[in-house]
Amino acid sequence: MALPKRIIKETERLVAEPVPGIQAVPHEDNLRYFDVSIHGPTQSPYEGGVFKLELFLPEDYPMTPPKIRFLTKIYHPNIDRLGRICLDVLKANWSPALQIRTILLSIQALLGAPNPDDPLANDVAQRWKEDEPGAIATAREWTQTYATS
Amino acid sequence: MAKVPRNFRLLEELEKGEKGQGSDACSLGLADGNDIMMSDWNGTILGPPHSVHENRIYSLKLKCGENYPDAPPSVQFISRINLPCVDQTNGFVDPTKLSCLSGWKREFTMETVLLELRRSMASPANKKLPQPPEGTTF
Amino acid sequence: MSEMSDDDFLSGGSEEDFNDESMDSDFEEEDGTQYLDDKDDRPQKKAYEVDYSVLSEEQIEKAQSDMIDEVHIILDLTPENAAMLLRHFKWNKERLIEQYMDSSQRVLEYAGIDLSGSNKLEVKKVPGFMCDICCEDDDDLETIALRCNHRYCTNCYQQYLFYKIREEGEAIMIQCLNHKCKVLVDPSTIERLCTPEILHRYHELLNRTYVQDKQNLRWCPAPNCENVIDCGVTPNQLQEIVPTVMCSCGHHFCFGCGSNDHQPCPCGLVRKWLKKCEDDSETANWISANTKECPKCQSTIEKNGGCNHMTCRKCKHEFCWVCMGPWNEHGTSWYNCNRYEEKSGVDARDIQAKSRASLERYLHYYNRYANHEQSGKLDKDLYIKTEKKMTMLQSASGMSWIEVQYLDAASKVLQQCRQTLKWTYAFAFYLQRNHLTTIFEDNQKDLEMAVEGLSELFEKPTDQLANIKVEMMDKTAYVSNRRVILLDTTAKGLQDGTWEFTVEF
Repeated sequence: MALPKRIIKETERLVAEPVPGIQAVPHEDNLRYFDVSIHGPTQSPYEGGVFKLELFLPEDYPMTPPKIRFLTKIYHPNIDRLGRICLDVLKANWSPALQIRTILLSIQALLGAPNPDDPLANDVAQRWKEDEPGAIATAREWTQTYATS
Repeated sequence: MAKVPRNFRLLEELEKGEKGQGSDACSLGLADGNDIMMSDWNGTILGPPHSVHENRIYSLKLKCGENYPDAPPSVQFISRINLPCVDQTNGFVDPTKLSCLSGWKREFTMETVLLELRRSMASPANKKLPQPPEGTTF
Repeated sequence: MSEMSDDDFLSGGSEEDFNDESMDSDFEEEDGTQYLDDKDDRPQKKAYEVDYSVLSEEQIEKAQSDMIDEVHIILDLTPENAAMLLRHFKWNKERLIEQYMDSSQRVLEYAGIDLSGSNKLEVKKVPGFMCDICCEDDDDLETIALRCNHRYCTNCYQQYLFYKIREEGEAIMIQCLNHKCKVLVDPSTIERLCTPEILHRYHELLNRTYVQDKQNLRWCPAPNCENVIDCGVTPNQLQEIVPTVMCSCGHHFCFGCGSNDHQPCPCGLVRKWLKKCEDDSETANWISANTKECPKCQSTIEKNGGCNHMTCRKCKHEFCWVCMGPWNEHGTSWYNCNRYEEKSGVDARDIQAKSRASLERYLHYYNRYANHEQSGKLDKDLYIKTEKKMTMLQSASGMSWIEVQYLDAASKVLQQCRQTLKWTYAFAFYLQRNHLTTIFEDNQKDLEMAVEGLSELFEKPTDQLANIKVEMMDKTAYVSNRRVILLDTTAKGLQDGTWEFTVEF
């Protein structure tokens, strides 16, 4: 089946007007499957890191949200060991009017503002609440170890 | 149809198990919860009733390579079992002797394989095969 | 023999021919709920009975539209807007009216209703328009916008509604496609855009939400039953009453928690008990095994009926399946199979012995609980056989269908009492030992003995069944009566708060 117009337009726009600090490139053999990289926001423990993600637009997109996860290891209360992300707009608050671009921006914003009260990685969230400086230091270490080439 | 890439497909299979939507007769889990590539899996098969396998629980290892699900996983029994499709020296399932592996389709999942193995254990030809003692491993 | 043909013969018009009330009149008080329709004739309500009514789907819909009509007149709104507001306020009419009177603007905004603009949904073709969702821009593209004027193509709206209703099960909070807009898609737009199949689901969801929102309503949990029970018992009363109801489909269940009838045990204790059984299932497993050995000659005995009075085929030794003691002790006044003998003070200082004693105590109750559950199942199997027996009896004795119904009635009473007995053991497990507990155990014992007596009659060969008709009917009535007494005294104790429990619930 031909690729829906919506996906073509979104892809074109991602290339023509890239978002600063975010790249999304479709696989040649699967135009619904994107290699994504997000730069850690400045003044966050992820600053200086480049995080790889993968994104897939399911058959029913945009009625259902894109599927997305981190491939780079990251220490963050809302991201689990397999890189799965807990973010409202990827679940209940998804709207077909949202786009790949807006979702990636939300993820970048999540890196800048971790939310330990809505955790996916319980152990990380716990530490974030009890020992925030320590947690931030670990996040910074992991960024150095896994997210810089 | 959109072609679901390997990793998202494996996540689907993992989540099906996590949500308890899988079959009761078998189970699946990641061998290493930190393995971002999700290659190695542990499986169990509950021995089918009315066979020599009744009440036994068989452990297996499954490995999904880079080309999964275009290519089938490799499957190896940990628990000793006597079945025609299982290599008696190392527990590996011979892909040519299990129809879902020899005729692998992209829609098949690891659960498909476990359930077919279970059916094979219950088949008239195999259900009375003498078995090694329970709890022994390859 | 050709049982099949007998069955065929029976399956015809049996249900219409059989008049429920004429048969049940012998056991008047066994189940007061059936008299709900004619309350005046009804004997005084028992302590364990609650008032309730059974509503059909149509009645549920009518109740909603009645309230909508009322609110749309009071607040001078269209029925549609009144409906949306009511749903938003979870059908709390008083709160809605109060807040609306206070500030209609705030309430409307909060509920995502926009009264401005045209309220007529128009399908338009707009030259040069591109739908933000699908990116189609044909000049022929049909488009719609809610009152907020966020315009999208009709096709995307239809798909969107399909997803919300079918996949997400959402009916009330479907907002405009623009993700920043809180305006709700109004019911008439939904009616207009959705296929009949989706609309059917939509109405189901509306009803479901209505029932969920109203504390006095609960769906009958029986599969494929679409009735709703209306009962005034609130969650904070559940310590004092076990609100057991019977749907018109025949299903008995607890209005408080939705589980199967668990009288006399209150919902809170049921939850604790089931949790405990789950945690201790490993230990408990061996108990529920189906075979035991004859305590005298050690030959293996399998239990295949509900009756706990066992007679060894080999040595004819009679014993009790539950405690394995000789049966003759059970027939006398010093029957004590139901009572756990608390070993007071034995080795109390020894922690190990203590934990062993507590396990032993639990097992005592669990054993009996599980046994009645199992016996209930076996009694049910017997019931199926009973149907066959009834058929055989009919042809063998020349009795009419009505005349053999005593078997059916007895079987139903038997199962109901097993269910009750089962839960008496969970209840007793949590009781402090005092003189009330002793009275409870006496009632429990009386019911248990009566049940075993009735259960035993079922094991008689078919050719003898006709001869024991009177005996069976008497025993059925007696068993029912014992159940009523047990439930009534237990329920009174709950209401008056006279029971002392070992746990908080």
